[in-house]
Amino acid sequence: MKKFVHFKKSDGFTLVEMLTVVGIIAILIALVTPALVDVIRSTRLNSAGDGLTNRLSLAQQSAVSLSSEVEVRFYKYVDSNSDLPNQASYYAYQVVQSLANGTEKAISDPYYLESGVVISDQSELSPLLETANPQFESTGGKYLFTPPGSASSSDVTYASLRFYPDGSMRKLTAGTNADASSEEKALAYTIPPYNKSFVTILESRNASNTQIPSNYYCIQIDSYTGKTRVYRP
Amino acid sequence: MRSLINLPFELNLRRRLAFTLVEVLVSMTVLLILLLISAQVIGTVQSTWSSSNARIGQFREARTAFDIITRNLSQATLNTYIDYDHNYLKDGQSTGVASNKEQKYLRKSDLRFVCGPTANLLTQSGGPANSPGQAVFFQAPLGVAHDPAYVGLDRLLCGRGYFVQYVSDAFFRPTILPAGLPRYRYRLMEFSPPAEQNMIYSADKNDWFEKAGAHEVEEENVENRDLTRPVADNIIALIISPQIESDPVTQREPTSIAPDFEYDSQEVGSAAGLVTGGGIAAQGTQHLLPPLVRVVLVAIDEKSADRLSQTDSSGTPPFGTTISDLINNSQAANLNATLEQVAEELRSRRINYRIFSTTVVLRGAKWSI
Repeated sequence: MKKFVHFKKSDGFTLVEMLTVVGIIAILIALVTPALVDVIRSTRLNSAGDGLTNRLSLAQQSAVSLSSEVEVRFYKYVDSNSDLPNQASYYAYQVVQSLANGTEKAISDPYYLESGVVISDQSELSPLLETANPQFESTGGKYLFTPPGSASSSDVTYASLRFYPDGSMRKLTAGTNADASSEEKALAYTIPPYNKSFVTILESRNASNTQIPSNYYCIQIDSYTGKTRVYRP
Repeated sequence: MRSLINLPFELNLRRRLAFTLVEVLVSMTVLLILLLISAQVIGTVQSTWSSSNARIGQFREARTAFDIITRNLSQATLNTYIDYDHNYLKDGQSTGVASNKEQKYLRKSDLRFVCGPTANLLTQSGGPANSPGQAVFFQAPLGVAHDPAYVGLDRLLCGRGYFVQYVSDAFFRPTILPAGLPRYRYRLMEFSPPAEQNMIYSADKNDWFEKAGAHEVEEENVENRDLTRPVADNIIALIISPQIESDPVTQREPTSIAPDFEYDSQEVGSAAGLVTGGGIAAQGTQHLLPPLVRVVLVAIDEKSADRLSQTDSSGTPPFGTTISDLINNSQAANLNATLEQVAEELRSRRINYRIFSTTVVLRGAKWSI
């Protein structure tokens, strides 16, 4: 009988034992979470940045192989479903070919940045995107890009980097209107100085920073060769 | 009966209730050994993986740069023409000229192809330690222009040059980024003034390229911005060797037009056996493009470069003049032996390297001697 009692006693954990174990687990989780969140954040930023870098060089190669002018357009609009529901930000970009007859043809679907990540619209952090023009209505009354959510196409503004058949790049620096001649449109693109030729991707909570935050993904583009160089913390 | 059944059960139970100290120690030791072994294996795999990745990435960049050089160099032009020798007019009433009639034809060109040790060509590039190897400057229809009105004029004549320099990233790194330690690297630099700023016609014949080695850190004005940019990092030497086809009749060596790697299309070629007779033949290699140019790039990988730059962060080139002496003291004829010496030097410092070499045919060369 004594043995039986002994058996019974060691059959389960006591409350104190359980509490200790749960406490240790809680402490461990509390220690690990901040590090894990940082890792997740920087992975998100990295994948958005890598995607943009790859598509920039894809656009440059398309310009060379199609022997045509190819733009990467960055769309700025208000997205009510995003982290910043009241603020216009760059959430999407698209590769667009400018045809010889002055029309534009999208050669890719728009790419949307993951939630929580935006391309900075501050001229200090993204001098390549400082000029944003309203979208033109094309002949069929359609817009090239329709934003998701409640924003309308006519509210979308865009900044643009144009790649040329020789592999070089220029940025949109002047406002043009829909009925501008193709010559006027061509003159709106100029070569940026190399040390001002970059865009920065940030977390959306840093979207209005004019100083570089701790976590960033900065892409510098050489306007003569179209080559990209990436800076990360 | 009951106790008979219970006894083994109880014994069994007892044994299961706890491990002895010895058991725990043994199992922990085994576990530890397993962990150590697997950690070692994982560590080796990881370091091999990352170093081979770095090599692939690095040498991909070097190859792209190599392609850029060879493609642009092959378009070099001098636009040579044959014209009367007007030198007697310059002399005024020079003695020995019986009449004002032109007496001979000369080969002429307003453009220039020049290559030679970087430190000699670019006085502002920081000397042979900072700019090892050779530089090349030439004119080619590359169509670089800043003025948007010139877009599409892709045959505009531009100056172009390539050389290697040990510089920090301060002059092109976006200023908004937090200032870390300046990253000093050997970089392959491309000097690329737009067509509007081609100064080939100015009175000083070096005017169009001599500022290529000086970098202005902050330049707001687009028109006057720094015209030299890095096209690839971790290139420790660029060697340019103008050559001709080896000719069994004249018995000229391929490297005889530039035995010391120096070639200037505005100079009368001083190389042996090229200046013969009078008239055009007396001009040697003047106003001629070399028909072939051998281009050699020595690239190292980022990991080695990082290690090298950490030995001294103040911008002293880690190789000193070792590499540049090897190249400058060599003759074009035994370039392969020199490259083997450079490779030996790199191996002795346990640096991953790769040597790219090709011979470019200059399509614009109308070689006639």
